Amino acid sequence: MGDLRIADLVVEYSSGGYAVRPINGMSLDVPAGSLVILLGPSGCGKTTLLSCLGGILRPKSGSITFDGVDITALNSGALTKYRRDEVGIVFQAFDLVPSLTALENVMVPLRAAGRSRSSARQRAEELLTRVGLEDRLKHRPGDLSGGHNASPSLARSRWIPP
Amino acid sequence: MPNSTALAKTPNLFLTTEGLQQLAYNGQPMVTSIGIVGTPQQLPDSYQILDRAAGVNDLLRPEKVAASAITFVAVLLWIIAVLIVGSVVYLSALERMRDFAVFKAIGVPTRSVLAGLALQAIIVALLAAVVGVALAQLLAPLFPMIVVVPMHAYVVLPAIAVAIGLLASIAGLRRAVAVDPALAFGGP
Repeated sequence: MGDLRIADLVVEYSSGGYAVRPINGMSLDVPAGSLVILLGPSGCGKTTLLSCLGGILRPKSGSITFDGVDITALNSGALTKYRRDEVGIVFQAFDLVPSLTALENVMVPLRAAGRSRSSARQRAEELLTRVGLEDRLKHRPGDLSGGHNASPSLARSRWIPP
Repeated sequence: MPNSTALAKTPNLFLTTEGLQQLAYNGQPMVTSIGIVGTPQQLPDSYQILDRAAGVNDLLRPEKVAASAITFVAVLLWIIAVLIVGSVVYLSALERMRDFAVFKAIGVPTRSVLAGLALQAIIVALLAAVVGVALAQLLAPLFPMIVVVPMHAYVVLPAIAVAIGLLASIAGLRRAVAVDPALAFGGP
């Protein structure tokens, strides 16, 4: 894992015919291994910043350099690979695919990364076991409680707290 | 002769020459055609030879208009199939826009998302083709006309179904390509 450097970041979008800038000229340096917590009122741009860091949203200007690579300059294919290989996201609403089981939800990014079905299944089972869902591998998100929905989402992100 | 029909199940009647002359021409020595086995060495004046294929074609000539009408209906039904399969795939894609956004957000390539959607369209079209074949077999005896489905139609049908499925899924595929992964976060 490398350092994260954000320089003069500007995010702008149109809302009701007006240009809105939830992030305007933000700069930040985060050394590798740091734990950073974003605090702020609703609408201040926390999710927008995370979307930019995760390679999901392209900023209007500025740069985001992670491990020496400017992710704002990546093309679509490279950005997809960055999201798959470097980023783990737990969405606010967990956003598990309702038609897939917990195991299949965790297998999706692993299969996209090129793992074989058996290898992806084995790794997904390991991840789900670490979050305590080894007995509910075949459960669909609708069959899990709200709290339990966080676990497959956490496992899918491949970011498992110690 | 049993099971010999033409003009949409109208039975053929085979008569001796004398019988036809008696029935149709008041016993006058007139004929319109003579069926023979073998090849004649020479013909009487003003006679001409028609082989079996030409005879069948001549017999079926009045059916060409009906056959063209059935072909036209078949084309219309293919268009309806495109609309139905397209609607199924498009609505399915609309329902799963957020899922597609999540897939993209966690690093699934767009082409994989498209492949899944196209595969769904192909499966729907192929299943529809299988149902069509089964219904054709079941309903053919009940149809008021003799309908012969040539074997090559069963071979061509899956290929056409796949093409129709892909054609129908274009609108859904376009939506899936356009979906913004930021939708997974609820947008900016």
